[in-house]
Amino acid sequence: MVAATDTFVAAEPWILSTNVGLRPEPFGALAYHFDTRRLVFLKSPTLVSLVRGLAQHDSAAQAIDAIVAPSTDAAANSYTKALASLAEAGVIERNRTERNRTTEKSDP
Amino acid sequence: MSVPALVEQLKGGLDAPICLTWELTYACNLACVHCLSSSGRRDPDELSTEEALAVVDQLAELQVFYVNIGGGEPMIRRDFFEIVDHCIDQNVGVKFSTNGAFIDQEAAERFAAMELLDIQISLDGIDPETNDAVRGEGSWQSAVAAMDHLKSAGFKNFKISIVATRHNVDQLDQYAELARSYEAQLRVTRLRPSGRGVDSYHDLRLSHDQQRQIYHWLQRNPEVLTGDSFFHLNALGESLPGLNMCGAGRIVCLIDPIGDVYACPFVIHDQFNAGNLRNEGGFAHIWQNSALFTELREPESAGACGSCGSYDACQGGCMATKFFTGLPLDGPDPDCVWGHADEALAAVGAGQAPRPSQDHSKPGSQPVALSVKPRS
Repeated sequence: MVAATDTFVAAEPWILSTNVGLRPEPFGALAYHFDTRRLVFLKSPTLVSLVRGLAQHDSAAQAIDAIVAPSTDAAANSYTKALASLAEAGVIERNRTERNRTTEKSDP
Repeated sequence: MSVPALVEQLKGGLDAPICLTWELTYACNLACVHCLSSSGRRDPDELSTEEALAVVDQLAELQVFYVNIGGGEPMIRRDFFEIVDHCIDQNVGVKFSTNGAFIDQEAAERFAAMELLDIQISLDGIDPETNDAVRGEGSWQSAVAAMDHLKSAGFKNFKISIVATRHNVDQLDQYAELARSYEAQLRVTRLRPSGRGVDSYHDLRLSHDQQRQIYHWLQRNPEVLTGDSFFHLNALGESLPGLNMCGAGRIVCLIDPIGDVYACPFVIHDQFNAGNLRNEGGFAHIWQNSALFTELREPESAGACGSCGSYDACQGGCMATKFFTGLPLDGPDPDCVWGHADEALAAVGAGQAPRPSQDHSKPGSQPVALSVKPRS
C-alpha cells in the first residue's frame, strides 16, 4: 500500500505525520512510517528540531526562519529541500487542522 | 556538515534496534524441515505473561518501531492477544509470522480491527505437494484457509511469506498472482542453514543458476518484500532494493522465548548469545553494552573476499549462513554468486559445521520427506 503524500509548498503549514514514529539517534533521527513501513533518516539534529517544531508555525518557511535561523539563502534552501523530500516520503504532511495549531509555550 | 554514509552509521549500531524478532514460544503444531529455531516443544523456562508484558514496556521506552513476532507458532500462547494488544497500546508496531492454523474467522476479524498490525502467512509452495514436503502434511490447506478468513474479514495487504527453495523458485509468478487475488503482498526471503535448516539447507538451497533467476525476478518485481535478505546477490550487478548490509546486532536482533538475546534470528547458537534480558539492566543493557554486539559493530574485515571486486556490492554475504555451513565468517558466503565458496564448502567434512545449541523438536517426530511427491 502506497499512501498518497502531500506536495510540499513552503508557504503552507506542515506537521509531523500521524503514524510516523521519530526516534533520536546520534546523527539526527530515524523516522518510521507505520503505514508504508518506510524508514527515513533525518541527517541532522537541526532538521529534527525543525520537523518537531513545524506544528507551531503558520508555514514551513516561517518554521525554517524561526528554528533554523539560516544566515544565507542557500542554507534556507537546503532545509526547504530537506522538508520537500520528507513530504515526499510521507514523514510530514500538510497541517489541515489550522484551528488546532497552537503556539505551544512551555509552562513557566 | 559532513555526515558519513548512512550505511556506515548503521553498521556502527543504533541506540536501539529499528525492529527485532521476538520468538514468543518454541511450541509449534508443525515441524518444518527448515525451521530456524528448531521449534516443536514449549520450553519450560519461557517468559511468563508478566515478563513478556514488561519486555514490551522496555521496547516501547527504547522506541523500537516494531517487533516481528514469531516462534514456534506464536498463536499457541494463550496470552498471544494480550501481548500483541500491549505492544500496540504502547505504539510498538507488530508484524507476526504464523502458519495460519489458528486463524479462524473470529481471529481474522479481530486482527482486521487492529491498528499497527501486520500478518505474514508462511507458504513455501504454491501447491500442497511443494509446500507440504517442507512444512508438513495439511499445512498448505490450513495456510490457505487462514488467508481466506483474512480476505473475508477485509484484512488488506497481509503478507504471503515464502522461503525461496529450489522447489518453489519457479513458482514466483504464480505466487504474485496468488497475492493479487488476496490483495496481499508477497514476501520472499532467503533460506538459511539455521535450526533444523542445518540438515535441509544443502537439499533445498538454490543452485547458482536459480540464484541468478531470483535476482532478475526480484529486479523485475521491486514491490516484493525481501527483508533485505538477498544482498549477497548484489554482486550480480545493480543492487536490489533495501539495505545492503548485515543488520545483526547493529539494527536488528532476536529475543528468544526464554529471554536470550541473539544477534539475529538465524544464529541461535551460544557464540551469538549476547545475554538474557531477565538479568539486571534488561534488554537495553544488552543492546547497548554486550561484548558481542560491540564487536559486531566494529568495521568488519573482508578477509578472503578482500581481493574480489564484488565485495562492496555483496558485503561477503550472510554471517549466519557462513557460520552454520562451517565457513569462516570473513570469507565468501556459501551462495557466493561467483562460486568462490564452492571449494571451501566441499572441504567442510561431515559433522564439522557447528550445530544449533538447542533443539526443541518434538521427540520421535519424523522429518518430513524432502523430495516433492508427484501429483497423484
